[in-house]
Amino acid sequence: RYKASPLMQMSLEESQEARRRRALEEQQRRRRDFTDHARRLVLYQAIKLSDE
Amino acid sequence: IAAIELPNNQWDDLMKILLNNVTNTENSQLKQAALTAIGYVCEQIDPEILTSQSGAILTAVAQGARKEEPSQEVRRAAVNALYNSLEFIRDHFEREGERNYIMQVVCEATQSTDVNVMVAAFECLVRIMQLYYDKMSYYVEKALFGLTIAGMKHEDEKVALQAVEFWSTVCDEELELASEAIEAAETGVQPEHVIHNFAKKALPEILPVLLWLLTKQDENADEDDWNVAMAAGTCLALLAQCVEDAIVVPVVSFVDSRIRDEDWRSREAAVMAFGSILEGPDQKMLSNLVNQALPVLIEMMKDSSPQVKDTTAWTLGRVSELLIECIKPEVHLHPLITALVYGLKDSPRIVSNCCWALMSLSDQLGNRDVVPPTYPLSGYFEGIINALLTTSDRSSNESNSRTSAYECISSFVAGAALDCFPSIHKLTVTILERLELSIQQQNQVVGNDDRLALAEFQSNICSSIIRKLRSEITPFADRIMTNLLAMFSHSNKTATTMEDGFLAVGALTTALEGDFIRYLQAFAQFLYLGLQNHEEHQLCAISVGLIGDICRALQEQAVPYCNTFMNMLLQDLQSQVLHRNVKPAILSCFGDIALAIGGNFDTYLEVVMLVLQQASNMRAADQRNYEMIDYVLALREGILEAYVGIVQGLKTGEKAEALTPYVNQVFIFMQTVWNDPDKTENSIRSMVGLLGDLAEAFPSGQIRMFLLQDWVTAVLKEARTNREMPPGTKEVTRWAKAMIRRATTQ
Repeated sequence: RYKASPLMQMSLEESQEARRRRALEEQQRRRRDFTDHARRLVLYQAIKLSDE
Repeated sequence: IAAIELPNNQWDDLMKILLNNVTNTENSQLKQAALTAIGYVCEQIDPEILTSQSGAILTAVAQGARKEEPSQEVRRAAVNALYNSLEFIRDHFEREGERNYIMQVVCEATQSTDVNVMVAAFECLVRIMQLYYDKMSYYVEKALFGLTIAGMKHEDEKVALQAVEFWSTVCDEELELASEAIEAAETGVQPEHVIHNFAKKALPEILPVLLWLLTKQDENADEDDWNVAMAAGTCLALLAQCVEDAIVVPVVSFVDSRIRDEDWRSREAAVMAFGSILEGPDQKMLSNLVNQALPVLIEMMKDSSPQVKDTTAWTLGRVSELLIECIKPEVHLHPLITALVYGLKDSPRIVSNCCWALMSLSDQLGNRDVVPPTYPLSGYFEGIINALLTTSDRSSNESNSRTSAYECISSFVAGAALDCFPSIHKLTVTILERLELSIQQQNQVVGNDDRLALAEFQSNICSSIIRKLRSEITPFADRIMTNLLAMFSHSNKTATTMEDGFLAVGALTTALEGDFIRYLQAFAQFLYLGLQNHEEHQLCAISVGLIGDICRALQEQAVPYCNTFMNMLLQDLQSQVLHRNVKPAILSCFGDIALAIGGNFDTYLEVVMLVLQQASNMRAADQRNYEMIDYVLALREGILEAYVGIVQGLKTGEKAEALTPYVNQVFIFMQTVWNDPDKTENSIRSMVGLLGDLAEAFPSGQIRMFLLQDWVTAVLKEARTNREMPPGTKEVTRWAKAMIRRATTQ
């Protein structure tokens, strides 16, 4: 813990693990963007408005 | 042997023999050996097994540890045995009379003339504080304050180290209890334990000693050494978190009086003290101090003493990470960055700390999600990247200096603004040249692991560059893919090299979208190897995720590859070797494929629905098996994501009717998830989306009966009112309600 800095203490495995985690979060975000129900709400409301 | 035999009711007379060897002999070596053995047995054996003998054991051990014991070797063995028995004698420690006796023996042992007995006694006090904090109020007040302060000042470093450790332990315990108290307040319950604030009460007495110990540095200490100055620095940082504002004034006074001292020890101790208190006290209180200190610290990066520079670089890292708002771009950024870049040419530890400081600046001043036209680091971007590239080209990775430089480059790229893109283009060329060289050199046996690690970091920077530049990466795409394919086909590759390469390919699919098709045929063979590599589950998981990326990028262009994708995913699901944690991702991937290829998914519908049905039946049989519970929850999130993709995909492909036979299965599953008290917020969000998708796919009352069930209304209400829900849940709920209204009223 003495003069600990995250980079100096980070092992190759931890660095790899951090990259995996970031990639997984990115993938989840892309999946969510793709199945974005909120976007579908906007589309639905737009169609409804134009129908009216 | 005792650890094996005693739990099996064998060797009944062992403790009797050992105790006899302590109490009925004049042979001090035999006493020592017997006490050591008793200590080890107590440390290893379940206390219940020796309950009936615990009183006799404690009596014998305490007797050996008393000040009346003439042999200091025996006394040390007894104190060590007591240390090993401290958990074992919990029942005795709970009783005041026995506790007083034990504490008296230990406290007296701290006053022994034998340093080894003293060290063992202080070690005991540290352990007692960890195990029995609740019971310590009386003893801290009456004896431990005085004993430990004298211990910290002891001329023998081993004694002083344990005495400092005692106060670090007090801080650790009180920080843990404070965090428990916050948690309890949030949930509206009474905290289980009382905080006695020993650290705050002792502050006026222990702080001067700790500050004095900071000046006792060992000039030749290396990273693996541990000395009183290091222990004091660690303790001071914990103390600052524990007592917060109360530490600031006395420490600042110490810093003021020492920071310009001629003796490097004083200067280093001053910077160390300042850096140590940056976490804990109120930020506003620290803000003025940091403002005043920054110019001095920046100047100290040129100090004649390497130790002072090292601690200054660490302190600048702490300021950048913890107190970014104190750094005023127009005032501090230029001298600060100049000093940090200057530090990149220094010794490895200083390099690592400067990288940390620069990375913190990038992480906090940059933006990974949005690309603004410019940002405070724009003017320095190219200079920093070039300096980091030079650092990362060093042959040694001592103190993680080279790794730190690569991590820092990646972070700068991720946070960059639009006006940094020309510099990122130049960086891309350099990194690709380095990647080409690393791949060529992989054949060389010497330092092979090092080269593979380099290739991984270079691939990672490629990923960051691709994510940042998006479609602007197109001119480099051929060269990137050529390099990555060469890396994948290399005989010396490892699973982690492949992983980083695959992550770069994933980033490329998102950037190129449909244009990625021109690489897929060449790349598919490596993707299939990853999917079939059941021993390397992390690589397999990334390969599964990559199928999702490819499908999202290519949409219907992915159809020719889907038979193979589906077969391999199904084989992975059936594998007895593959780590189960990959399996939820495979289920989600079915949804990704369905969403991409739309109506074409009906070919796989029957088999996938069967698989999802089987996965839905998975339960955690033992409610104490938390790993299994987490696995089932992850599996259910995967199933929900699969259903969402399938329903949306088939609806878009105008084949929603194909879902009719499976509607009942999907609703039964959702009801099971809803009834589970451990259900996650993510699963509720996905479920609401799925309800909306189903209602949209069957708009004319076909599934009206399902949608009108009471629990469906309850799910929607929970999603709307629960504040813990992930962002966007309210909008999804509004949409789902609109769809359900339409599907149940027509």
